[in-house]
Amino acid sequence: MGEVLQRILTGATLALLLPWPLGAQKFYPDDPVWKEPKPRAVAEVLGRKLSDYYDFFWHTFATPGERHTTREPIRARSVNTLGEVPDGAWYANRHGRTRMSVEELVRGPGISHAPDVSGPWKVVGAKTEGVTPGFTIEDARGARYLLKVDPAEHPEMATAADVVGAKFFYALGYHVPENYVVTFERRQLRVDPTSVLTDPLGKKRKMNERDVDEVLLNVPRDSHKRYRAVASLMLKGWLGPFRFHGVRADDPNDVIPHEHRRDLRGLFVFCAWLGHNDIKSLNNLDTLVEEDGVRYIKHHLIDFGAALGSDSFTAKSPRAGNQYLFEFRRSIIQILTLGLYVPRWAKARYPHLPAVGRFESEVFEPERWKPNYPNPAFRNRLPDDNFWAAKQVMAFSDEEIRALVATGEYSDPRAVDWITKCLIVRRDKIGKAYLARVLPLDRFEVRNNRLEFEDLAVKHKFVPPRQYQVQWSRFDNLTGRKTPLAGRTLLEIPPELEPATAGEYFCAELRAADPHKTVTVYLRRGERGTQVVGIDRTW
Amino acid sequence: MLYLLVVLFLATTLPAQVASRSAQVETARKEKSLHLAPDETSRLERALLAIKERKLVERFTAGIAGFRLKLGGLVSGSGFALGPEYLRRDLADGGVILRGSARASLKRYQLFDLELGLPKLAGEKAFVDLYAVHQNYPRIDYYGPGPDSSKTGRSNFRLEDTAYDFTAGVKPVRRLRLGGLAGYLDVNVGPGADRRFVSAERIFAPAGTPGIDQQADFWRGGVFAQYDWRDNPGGPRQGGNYLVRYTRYSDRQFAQNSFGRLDLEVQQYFPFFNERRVIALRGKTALTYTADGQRVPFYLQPTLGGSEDLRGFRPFRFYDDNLMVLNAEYRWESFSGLDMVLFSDAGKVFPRRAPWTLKDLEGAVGFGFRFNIRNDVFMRIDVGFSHEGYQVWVKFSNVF
Repeated sequence: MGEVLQRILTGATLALLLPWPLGAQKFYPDDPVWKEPKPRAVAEVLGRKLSDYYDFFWHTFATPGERHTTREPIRARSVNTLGEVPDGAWYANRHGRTRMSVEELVRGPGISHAPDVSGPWKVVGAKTEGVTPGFTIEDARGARYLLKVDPAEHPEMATAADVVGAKFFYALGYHVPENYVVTFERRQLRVDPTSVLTDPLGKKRKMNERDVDEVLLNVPRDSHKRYRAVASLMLKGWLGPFRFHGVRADDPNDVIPHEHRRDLRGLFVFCAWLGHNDIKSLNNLDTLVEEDGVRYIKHHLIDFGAALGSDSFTAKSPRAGNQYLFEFRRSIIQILTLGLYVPRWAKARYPHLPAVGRFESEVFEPERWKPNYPNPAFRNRLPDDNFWAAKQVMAFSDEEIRALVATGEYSDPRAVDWITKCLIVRRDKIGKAYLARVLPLDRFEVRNNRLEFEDLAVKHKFVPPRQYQVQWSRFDNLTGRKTPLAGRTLLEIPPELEPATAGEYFCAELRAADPHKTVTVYLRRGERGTQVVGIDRTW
Repeated sequence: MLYLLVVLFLATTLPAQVASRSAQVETARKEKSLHLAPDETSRLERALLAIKERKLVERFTAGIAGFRLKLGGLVSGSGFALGPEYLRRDLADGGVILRGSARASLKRYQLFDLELGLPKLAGEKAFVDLYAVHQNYPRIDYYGPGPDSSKTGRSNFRLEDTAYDFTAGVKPVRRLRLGGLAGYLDVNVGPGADRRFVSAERIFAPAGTPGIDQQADFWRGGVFAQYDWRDNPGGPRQGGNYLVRYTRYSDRQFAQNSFGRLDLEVQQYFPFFNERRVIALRGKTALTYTADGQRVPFYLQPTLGGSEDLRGFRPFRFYDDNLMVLNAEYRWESFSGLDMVLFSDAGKVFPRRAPWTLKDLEGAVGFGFRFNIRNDVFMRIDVGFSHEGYQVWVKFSNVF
């Protein structure tokens, strides 16, 4: 008897235990998660700087981070069961999920912390990072800003790009600083007696008014002799940049390798759209923040002075966005063909608008776009990562794009027109390219006893309305087994769901003309009806 | 018993079960929190960061307390040269530049110079420059006078000179410089130190090579005008640069070597394919003028050949009273840090101004590499070919 009981107990224990540790459960009761769990408190964390030379060489001549294997690609991990990135330290769903009003888009990360002009701005330091000259200033309220200016030949170009870029990336879901276009007279700046400058030879010395004059010497001025700059509200809690691969060793909440984060993989599409080829570790920033009594690390994108047609200190090179700074194969082709092979981008046409720099849409090919040097997260992109990003780009209407471009406060309306037009064309190219790589069905819901969704390719008129093949199945959440429901091939919810008990799962596999491109939608019976809890895509 | 062991094994080795997605995330975080470590960078990265943060490259190039190591800058053919340089650009808030150097090459060429510049006078509308230089070049090539000199007639001589020049000018409008120059030049020519070749004075006579027997001291003075609208002088892709300069040399010893020299130079850059391709053209000429009984000494004659003009020929391959050079370069971008070049050079020296035509030009063709940082060429390698062979040039400056 004892032996029999032992066997029964053992068997029962195994039956209970095995499914869980083997990880077979696809959905949990709280899926889909739209907000990351409250972060764990960060105890001790130190800021650290990264080397831009190292970053460039390492990414150009090595392959940091984990790459897809030849057998199986590595799907993005920072997603919920719907394939969306939950709100958290890296990302916040904004315009792509719930439409923002034009006012909200224009407001971006904030409009209420512009530098106070009621008193002089204390120059407390000179900007030594990056290629654009500037200062760190403190306004009358004690708020600190990074003040960056335009190159002499391109008034308004870099400052507008920095502001417009921040607004777009904010709307796209990233954490960015508040950037403001400001105009000021020389007398607005007063060197703080305690401010220290690192001179070009690395020696620290007290800053003086002459240093300010030197920086302003080649800064363009308007007809009222006023300077224009972008004032970027300094983020508090500086910890240094984050990389596009690996995790921060000192951050308990950073558990997904960055090269597998969808928000960083998809960032490629956003950067391509906005011409932000200078995306790199050094244009990111981690900060230590405290919310609800918990200190945690928040991840930001900063410095968009090289977005649109700007390269911060000059107009963008025509190469930018089309070729890495160094590419062995293309270099050899150029050498061997004596330059007779002319890349398409070299024939791009640009307007003679100094505030625009070099930004265009005719030659732009979203799938061939490149940042200045390879990026592990970008190179790990899969079609579903691109789809996630492309649908957000497509969420911007023409009017919304124009409103955001106008936040650059261009004095020449032709600059606004040109950039807006380019962004619209580039948006449509992105949609056409990436929505075609998967079956672009989105926004699934059960309504009127029917599975409803949007076909984004149809919605944006890239393809005509089309038919879908549907196969419903019963889904075993523990084993992952699908049992087809015979004859259930319509979008109507099959009657088998009605008597199902809460917690039972069903799925519908949809396909259009291409049998490789499928979308499987998972439904769960709940106390209050049927809920869409998951989406799988194949391509 | 076996079953029990299996259960115990699974219970102790497999991850703890979770009941929600949030718990799953929390488990991963908790697991990581047990192994937190400072997020450190690699030793190599720290080193590269230190180089940048401490501005070690800038300090090396800028020096310490104004002193630094100066590479090159001597005449073509001098070989690798270096020496200490004292440079201050920070005096009077950048209104005064003080520079001095002492350089020597592996071939024992020497150069000592001192310069005081006031580049920002009158609200940067005027400039003044004082320059003194002593050069001692022990083995300057000389192939004989005129365009028909033979390659096999190679000889060499020592050129030792000391010059003091005062230059002043104005910049009435952006890109235009007008100015004048006054100075004193003391020249000495001696036997060449290159024992592989005969010393010039042993095979060339004063009749064909004026000044080889005795050298004069000169007062010199002149005027110049320059209009420079190149987009980036360090690596131009469009625009132009035009220079005209007239200098009068007065022989204050023998009254037989006075002359005037007119230099004209035109550079023009034609970009296409969004400046990824550039046709760069340069034409320059030097014409000398002498009164009756006066001759241009050979050591002040225009010379042709070398890394700056006729790149398929050796340095100083041709000497004569007048010079004409035409250069054409087709430049194309290989990648952001390298432009490739195909070039064609043509030029000649000639004794009288009458043959100021495109006849009888010596020619050279070749290819080159232009390495640049932010479009400024910091090194070039040119390989030139001519009927006299080929030459390889490695230079740390752009040609034009």
